[in-house]
Amino acid sequence: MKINKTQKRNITLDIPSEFRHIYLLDDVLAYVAKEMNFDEETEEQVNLAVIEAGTNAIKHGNKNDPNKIVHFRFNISDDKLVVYIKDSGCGFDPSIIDDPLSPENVMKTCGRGIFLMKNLMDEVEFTVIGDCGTEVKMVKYRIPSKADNIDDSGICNN
Amino acid sequence: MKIDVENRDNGAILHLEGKIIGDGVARFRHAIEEQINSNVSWIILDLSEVPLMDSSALGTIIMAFLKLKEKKGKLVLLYVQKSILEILNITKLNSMFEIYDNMQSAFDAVQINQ
Repeated sequence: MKINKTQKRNITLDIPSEFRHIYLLDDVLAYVAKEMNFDEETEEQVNLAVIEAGTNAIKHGNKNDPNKIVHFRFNISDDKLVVYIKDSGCGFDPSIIDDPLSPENVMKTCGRGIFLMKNLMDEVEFTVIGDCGTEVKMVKYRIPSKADNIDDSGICNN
Repeated sequence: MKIDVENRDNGAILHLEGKIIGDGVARFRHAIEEQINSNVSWIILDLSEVPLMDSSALGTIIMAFLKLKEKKGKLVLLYVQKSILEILNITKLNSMFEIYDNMQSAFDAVQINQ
């Protein structure tokens, strides 16, 4: 399939703040990766980064309250994937998070989620929305593959 | 996520299957704590069927590693997939854990301390 350069669409997912729903998020991520035509390595990177963000939103943002919802929005276009994750928490300052690579922290049992998100995605941005939540925006650019230049008839368009 | 525990001598081999994410992390933590509390002196984590784990699962492995070390025991990793190796490299944990690609080497490594 040749990707339509003007094609752009959104997929949304709302889940109650319970860890069991992370597996549903994982299923949606598999679908998004297929839509984006990500290679295996990129798919794994995006998968883990979004799962980390979702887990943080459930645990730290919504404090595991199943009445509070975590909202995911996947903005799919030909050159990049933009993911928005929004919770109802009080917000936080990502700059005060310890460096997990410093010798005194490397064997700590927690504190790697945001670090991994930043390392696995191309852009990560946190926005505190008043007193009603935090939104994380993450971007992953798509490296075009040879398959993108082959149309449905199997003819290479290079 | 599926966990099979194989008790052998004074240790345990945990065969894990599936992604360790979401509420699977709590099940993983429970299984590993159960082994530590039953006084095993070593654990081999067989990750051959684990394509992904999140940072909380990594934290659980660190917790088990430190608890066993405190008791002069040992935890090693077996058959780590490329995707998880990448995470261990990014977090510098690759240099903290012993990682093996065959069962005999992993078994020999945990027996050395006994």
